[in-house]
Amino acid sequence: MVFSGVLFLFGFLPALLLAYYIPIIRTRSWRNGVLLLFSLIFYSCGGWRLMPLIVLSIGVNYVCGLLAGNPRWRRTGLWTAVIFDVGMLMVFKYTNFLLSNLSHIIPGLPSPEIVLPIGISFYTFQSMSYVIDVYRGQEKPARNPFHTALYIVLFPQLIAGPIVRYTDVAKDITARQETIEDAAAGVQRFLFGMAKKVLLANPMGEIAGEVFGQRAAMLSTGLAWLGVLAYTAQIYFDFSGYSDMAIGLGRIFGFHFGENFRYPYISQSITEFWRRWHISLSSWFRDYVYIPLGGSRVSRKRQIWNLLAVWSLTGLWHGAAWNFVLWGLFYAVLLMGERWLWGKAVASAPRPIRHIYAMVLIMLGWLLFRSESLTQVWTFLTAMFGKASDGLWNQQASYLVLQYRWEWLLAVLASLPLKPMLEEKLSRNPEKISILKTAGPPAIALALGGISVIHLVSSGFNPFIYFQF
Amino acid sequence: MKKAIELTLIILFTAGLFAIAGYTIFGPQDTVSYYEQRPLKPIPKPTLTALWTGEYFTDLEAAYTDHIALRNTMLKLHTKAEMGMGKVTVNGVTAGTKELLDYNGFLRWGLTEVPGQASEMAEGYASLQKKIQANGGYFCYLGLPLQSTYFAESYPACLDNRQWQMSAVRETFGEEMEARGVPFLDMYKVYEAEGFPKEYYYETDHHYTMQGAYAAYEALMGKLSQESGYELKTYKKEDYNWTTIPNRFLGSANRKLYGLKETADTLEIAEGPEIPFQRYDNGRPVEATVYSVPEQEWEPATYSVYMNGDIGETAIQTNRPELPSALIYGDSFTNPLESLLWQSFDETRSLDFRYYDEKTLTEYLDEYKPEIVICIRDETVYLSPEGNGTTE
Repeated sequence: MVFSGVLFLFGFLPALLLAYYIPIIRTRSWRNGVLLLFSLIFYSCGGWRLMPLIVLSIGVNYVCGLLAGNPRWRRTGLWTAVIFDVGMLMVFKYTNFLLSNLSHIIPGLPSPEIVLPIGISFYTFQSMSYVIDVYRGQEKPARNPFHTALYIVLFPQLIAGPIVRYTDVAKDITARQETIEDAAAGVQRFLFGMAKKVLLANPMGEIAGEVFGQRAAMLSTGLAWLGVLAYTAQIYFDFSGYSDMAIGLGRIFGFHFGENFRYPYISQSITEFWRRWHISLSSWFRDYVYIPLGGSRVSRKRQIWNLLAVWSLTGLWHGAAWNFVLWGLFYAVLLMGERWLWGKAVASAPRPIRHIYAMVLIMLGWLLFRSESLTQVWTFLTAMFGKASDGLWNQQASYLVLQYRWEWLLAVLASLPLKPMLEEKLSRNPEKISILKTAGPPAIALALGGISVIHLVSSGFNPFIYFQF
Repeated sequence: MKKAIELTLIILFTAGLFAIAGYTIFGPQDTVSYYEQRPLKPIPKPTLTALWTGEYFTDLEAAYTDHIALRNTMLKLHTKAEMGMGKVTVNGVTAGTKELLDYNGFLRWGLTEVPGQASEMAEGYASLQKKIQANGGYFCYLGLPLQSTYFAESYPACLDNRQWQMSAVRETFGEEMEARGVPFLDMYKVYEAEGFPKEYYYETDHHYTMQGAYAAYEALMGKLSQESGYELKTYKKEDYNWTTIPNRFLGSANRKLYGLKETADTLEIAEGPEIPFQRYDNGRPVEATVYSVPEQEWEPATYSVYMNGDIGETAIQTNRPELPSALIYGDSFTNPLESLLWQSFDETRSLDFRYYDEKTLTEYLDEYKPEIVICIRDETVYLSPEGNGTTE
């Protein structure tokens, strides 16, 4: 089940709202129980075969959390959780990757059919962060197993993030207040997120799919750039749209998740980009891998090693394939370069140059991310930089510009921080346009919601990209 | 005021969710989509395997989407909006051109397999021809361009009209058939010689019009008269009573746009001299007519007016044993031609192997031994042995 699907919108969500906000019963236990039950139902829609693993994960991490909070057993709790959670990831996500690589050395190795549980990368990281925070004394362990369960499987962020820290939601689990203000803000955020996904990410995905599925002989320079640009837009609107929906849904039920994206495409350096992109993941790796390895407080040689390790893992987290590792290392090199080599030069360049520098590198990163093979990476690189088989521009490029001209325009506008800019401008004239400021966004959100539903019904099934993680 | 606006937002949002959910679950249920011409997916029955793998919920999502309240309205609105936004293609057809043409995508592949495939198909037809000739019959293959080929020049510059493929297939197939002495009437060449008259093909449907069908009838009868050895009467245009059906025409391409494209297309029928006949569809007697004109004024007229659409097996018997019998088989392009051809034969049988599976073609030929056998296909399937491409 996906948030931007009719079954969720007109089946799951109304049923949940009814059960949750039923006027007669308003206790925290009832509402937590309803959320937990519906979250498990939500997850089970991916197949009942996924349930034993997540229930086991809840159980193990709950117990490990208790152990990690006990001075005598804290190390046991910590390492059991880490070994279990990392082990799960290794088994379900990386077994075939390892075996296929080993088979180059040891032929005849088996290739077992392993079903990748939906969202495993998210909920294992979330569970680990809980136990580690308890171990560090930053949080008390949850005594009530249902609280741990709710934290891990809460449906808004279960399958595609944001990766929520227990410290951020512990109070919400036990003592949240559902308010009209939160619910309205949540609805609005949800509708904007759905519009991002359905009206922008999906069409950009169609473009990217067409271009990346095209034969090398039919690639022009313009077409290759369009494909990479489209994917750059697709992945942002898909993922940030999903995060918006998750944050919005959380808020409807009184939860306050942190922001996961802060207009990453206005970045003027790669360092800045990673402060704006998938914030919950980058901060997870910073807090639980980079800093424990010594972070920046060690020798340069050690820092380089730390960065390479963290970014290889970041790449691998995204997928069990070498192009993801390459993608991670690509950013490691760029971040190291900005830190020690060309960072000052970039910082002193004019703003447009800084922005172009960042965007070109970000797009090249997405090329690595999206390509199905290193051959395809090379094909696109050569096409993008002047050696395309079908010349500078071709028919398909013209079609993709004309067919999606409205989406291209909206994608550019939606990448910019127009909302905070507008809010800042409007706040200077509070009396004059208070109606616009107050009623405008909800009205736009409702309109976008309606348009998104119409688009959804017309388009069919549309899974999120980050589902595969 | 802020609170009032917030409350309004919440109420409208939840009311929308519940209203659509309620009407979807408790409202009237359609089983077929008229515009998409397909059955709507039924709500799946849960099985342990499907629940275990998650397939059940994927199917449930698809079925729920098919049955969502106000679905047709939403689809129409979406189509109208896309057309209004000036999209080059909408729902798989070119929306900005006068003719609604198929969107072909941009995948190109080498044509190295075409000669081999054409040779194989032609070999099959040559073998079929021998079987027919052994029964004293005559075989002819009538090939037709699709509307998107007929109006290939109307494609916008940014779209691939696929003529790089169609022309190669058409020419290679024609050469292979000729090399084996299989009679092949390529209507593309006939229409080309006449300058591709606009009235021969619909703007909003992928088929030819009755005018185009008559031109094919004339060319075919000419060839049959010359080569089959049978004396066949070719009815002239003036022998028919041509009537334009007043109902609005809904073509296959316009159907993809929910009938929103304004068009000058009309549907014509040509009623020839009165010849009494009996008609049997799939072995059962039916009304003796070759046109199924809509009864109500508000009903749109569609291509299925001709011969009542695609039917597995049709037999028209005129009880004139002095005339030869004919077997026509092929896709929907056969339909208006059949409504003209039947008058020249004692018995006309037609098969559509997409819907007929009781006998193979050769079994049918062995049973009925028609004197004239005509295969009618459009050029997009010249190289396909599936369905009506059978030669066995």
